[in-house]
Amino acid sequence: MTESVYHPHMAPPQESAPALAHGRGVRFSDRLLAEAVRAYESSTAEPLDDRAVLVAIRADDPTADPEQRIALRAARVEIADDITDALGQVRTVAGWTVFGATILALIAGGIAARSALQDQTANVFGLVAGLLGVQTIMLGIWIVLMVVGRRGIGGGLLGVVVLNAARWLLRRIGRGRAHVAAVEAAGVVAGRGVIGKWFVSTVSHMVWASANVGMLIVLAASFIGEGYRFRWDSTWLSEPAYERLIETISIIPQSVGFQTPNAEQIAMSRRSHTEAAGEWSQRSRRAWSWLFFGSILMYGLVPRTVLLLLSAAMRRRAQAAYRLDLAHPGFARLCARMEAAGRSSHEPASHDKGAGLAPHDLPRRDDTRPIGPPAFIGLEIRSPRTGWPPDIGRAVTDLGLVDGRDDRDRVVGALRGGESQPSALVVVCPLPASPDRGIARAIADFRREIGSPVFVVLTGGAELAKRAPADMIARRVEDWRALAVQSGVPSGHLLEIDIDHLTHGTRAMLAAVAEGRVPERTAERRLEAAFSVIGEHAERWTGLVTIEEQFALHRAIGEKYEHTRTEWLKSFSGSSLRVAAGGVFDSDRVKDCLMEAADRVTRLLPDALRINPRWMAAGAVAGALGCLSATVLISPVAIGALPAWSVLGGAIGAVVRRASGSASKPESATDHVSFEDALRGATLFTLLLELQGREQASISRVLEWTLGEMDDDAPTLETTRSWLDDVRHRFDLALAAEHGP
Amino acid sequence: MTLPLLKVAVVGHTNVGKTSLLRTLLRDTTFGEISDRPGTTRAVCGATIEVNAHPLLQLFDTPGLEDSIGLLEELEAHRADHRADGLDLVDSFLDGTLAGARFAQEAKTLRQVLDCDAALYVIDAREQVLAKYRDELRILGYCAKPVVPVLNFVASEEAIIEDWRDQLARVSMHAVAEFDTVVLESQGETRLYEKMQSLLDRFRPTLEALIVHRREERNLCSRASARSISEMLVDVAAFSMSVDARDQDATTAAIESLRNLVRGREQRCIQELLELHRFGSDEYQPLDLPIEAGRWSVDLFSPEALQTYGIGGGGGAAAGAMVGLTVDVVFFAGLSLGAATAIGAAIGAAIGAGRLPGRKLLEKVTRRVDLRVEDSTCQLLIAREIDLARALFNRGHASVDPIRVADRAAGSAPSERKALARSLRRAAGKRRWSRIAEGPSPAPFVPDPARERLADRIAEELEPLIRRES
Repeated sequence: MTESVYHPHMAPPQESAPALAHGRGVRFSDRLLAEAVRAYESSTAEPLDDRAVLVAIRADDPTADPEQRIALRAARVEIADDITDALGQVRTVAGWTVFGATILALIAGGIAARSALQDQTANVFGLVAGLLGVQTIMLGIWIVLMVVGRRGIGGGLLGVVVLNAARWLLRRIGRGRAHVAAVEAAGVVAGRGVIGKWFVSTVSHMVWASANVGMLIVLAASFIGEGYRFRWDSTWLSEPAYERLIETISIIPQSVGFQTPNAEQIAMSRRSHTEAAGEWSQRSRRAWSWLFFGSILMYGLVPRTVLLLLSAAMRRRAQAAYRLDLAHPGFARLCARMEAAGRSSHEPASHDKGAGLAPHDLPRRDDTRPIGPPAFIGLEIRSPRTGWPPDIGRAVTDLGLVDGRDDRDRVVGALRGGESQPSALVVVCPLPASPDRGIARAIADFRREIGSPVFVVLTGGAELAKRAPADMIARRVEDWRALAVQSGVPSGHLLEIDIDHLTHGTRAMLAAVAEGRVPERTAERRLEAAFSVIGEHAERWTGLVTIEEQFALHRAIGEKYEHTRTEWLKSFSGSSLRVAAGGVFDSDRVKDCLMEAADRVTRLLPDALRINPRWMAAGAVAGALGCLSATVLISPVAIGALPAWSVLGGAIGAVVRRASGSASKPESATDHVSFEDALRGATLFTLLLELQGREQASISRVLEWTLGEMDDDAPTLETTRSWLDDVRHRFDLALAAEHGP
Repeated sequence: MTLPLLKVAVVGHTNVGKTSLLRTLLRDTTFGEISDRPGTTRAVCGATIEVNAHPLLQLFDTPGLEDSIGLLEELEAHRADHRADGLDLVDSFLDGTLAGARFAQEAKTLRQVLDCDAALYVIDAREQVLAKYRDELRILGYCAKPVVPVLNFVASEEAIIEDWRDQLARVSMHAVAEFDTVVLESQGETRLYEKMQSLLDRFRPTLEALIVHRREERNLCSRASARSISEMLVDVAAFSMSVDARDQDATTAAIESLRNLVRGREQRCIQELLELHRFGSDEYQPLDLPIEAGRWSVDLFSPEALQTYGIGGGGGAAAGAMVGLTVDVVFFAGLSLGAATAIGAAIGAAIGAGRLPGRKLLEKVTRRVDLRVEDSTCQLLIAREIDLARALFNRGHASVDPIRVADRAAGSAPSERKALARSLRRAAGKRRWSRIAEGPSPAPFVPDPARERLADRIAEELEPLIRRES
């Protein structure tokens, strides 16, 4: 592995030297265009449609690195031409502004020089201080700014002034989106790194150089046309100091061959007009004038020109070193998109799709053996908490838990070699697991050995409900049904019964299955009676409903369903709460039990209801109060042992808050809930009791069809009866739909 | 010398999350099809991870192994010749007729494994260890390719990692990777590649390059996210709208328009964040709790939003139409009287009819007021976007669940938000610092170095918050 082979998709940190392999062949202008395109995109909500471009770029040069690709893309997107034009315009505006500034400086330099020469007398102080001093100070400032200045624009005050003028112009000249983007891009590029600094320096030096040229032109013109005397009156400077000053200034001009005044000529400039009028020889005038001309040339124009060239060179260097900042959100997003466009999905050839699922409905054995007890097989399930085989109140043949080839062979052998055939074969499978062809084959293999009916029972629904929403559970049941059919088991012979949580009803279903018949549901309908109880109770409520009132209602509803009570007691009352009956309840444990019951009910809710905090709250109320009323129905004395209503209210409030999330009203935090929540809770409780004995998926479906599309208008005291009627109507429709035509 | 391309088949039982693993490794929410039903992938499909235009890793998604018990039986039935080794068995099975019929799906997978340099065996760690999985591992062993078991769904409460590790150790598989395809843990992917390195010496440099690439990509992503948020914050904090204070209608309209512009700016930031984390594709539409169809469900300018994050209103009794906004009274040339919160919706009326001494003078000089967002809005934006960025940062590309920001404002402490909002005050009143454009033909935005410095500084402060482990 060599370094040049692999370079990660990273923007090199700006401080460090840019990685050489980045952006091979990408010029500064390309990067500027890329920045402008990015600015253009960030100003619009709709990203550019560049899919075709991305694909084409990849096809053209598969080895291009991210920066190259960004630059190539920028050059090829639809608006590239507009933006290129706009960038050209920015350049033009900047160019003209600099040109204007240069001309102004030329004129200003001339005026400054002219103002130092009046009445054939050149003011030495004016020439030294005005023409040389100011720009020397400015040069000093430039050096300081270059050394200590921050990155971005800076260095050279005049340059900053010119740049601001250009910005001002640019803000006013164009308003098109391409123009806006171009201006922003220019700003970004100038602001990052040192390009801006050197650009401003270049402009600054150019302006000063121009001013110097202006001065030199005026000086030359003046010195050619007129004779000047030079003078400097000073109060403070002594004669020797003045002489030293002029001599010092003379050093450089003299060294390149300019004439400079000697000591006597220097002394002459200190005398007054009248004194010296006659003494100014041609020679002195020439020496003095050459000194100034030379000084401005050597101290002004030459250094500025040198610095101008240096700055221009440095700017070019900075531009060459400029890299796109790939960590900028705009570019980072683009990299993500380019990566996706470049990702090739491919399908290796010679694959025959769709093959695989051959049905296993092979001919069965013609079994004439006598009928024996039903047989139970646990196929790839964990040992149930309630023991194996499940207790259905009669003798069964236990063929054990089956996992793997040896177990299967053993079971097939037992089925084949038994003296009798089972009255029914019940294969218990795990609902949480995905059905697969291996299981299908195993069931088909078992089925083939006997002539009696085979049932597939899916257990573990409660476990699956912890991690999956109701609709997924329903889909999973359907997948298992498809598998059962594929293995030759009729669709009606598939049942969802949680062996870990057997209730009276489900145990009865298992018993029916063991006899070889499909269990029937013959629940007695008590919905109307229960709803009328709800209506009566609701009429007595005023505003917020206390926990005690709600509990009374749940208890009354529970009594209506006493005929199936052993069945639903299991679903609602946690065994731990029941065990404690007779003693004093520990309020912490009560809370845990209520939480568990509330959870169990809210997990039953289909997705359509779970997203509604109102129904989640209702589920929690139904679960928690259902648990309490179940406890009390089993042992009425328990009511005396329950903790104070306020404690229960606190617990239920917490349950409801947790179930309904942040959207619940603050009042549910105390020992009462709103009328609406109370009514919904009681209604849900009734529906759950009415649906007892059904499979979990079926309960969820009926609930979804019944309540999922109820209007979200809150039922009020006046509308309670009609609201309940509406629920009943929908419930009937849902049941009809569930049982099919 | 270029790095050798590593070809890896992703195999496993049906519905254990093979396609999900690919999606997450590829950072591609659109690869293949995933569902909670078995047998979703029916054909082999591959994709390549390139680093800087060099293909480094080719991953192949395969159909699930469904009937390993039957297949193993079948393979062993071929063992007529006792000297035949596993590979011979697989070869002769693939040449046979069953490979085209009953075990067609398994045959596709085995062919792909033989064609690759290694296999990743994906395990649903929530499932109990069954004989059929042991058989699958045995069959893969016959292929004589290095196999790295990958425990998926390890973040689930039901995962039985110890059981699985124990079982895998019994078949001498010790280089086991734990990698949740839904919850992206920063170290998970690195460890997976390191495990592969331990078995694939020849591809060590390739995998090293991948590890480095992913790490740098993650750094880049967090930097870009922080920058995206900080740009949005500066844009919003600097934005203001000037209105004629005496014109009630214009003021009301301006309030609404300012809100919409700020909402739009937040929306762009959300879109950027989604795209940066490779969740931006059109096909990927998470239904979500806090975010609906890619936007926060609770409006930025609702008291509820502030309440959720426990952010008090800024200067005082800003209520009703003025929630989250504030007013600056402007004298000549932008000289400001400072924030005059609580003037309420009737700014115009308040200033116009104020019983202030020298009212006429005040009216003359303060015809215009500047509307801008309040500190509290900035704090809310900070809290929300940090939460979102953090959620995205740790989200696997196989997640189809809504983006859940479980613990609201967990990403930032109130003091941190306040400090950031304080820094943002430097942008207040600097309309030119804002990229938010008003009207159809806005004036160009020219980046100002001081603005860029502020945005940089805020991004620097945001980044550790985004990366902070919860």
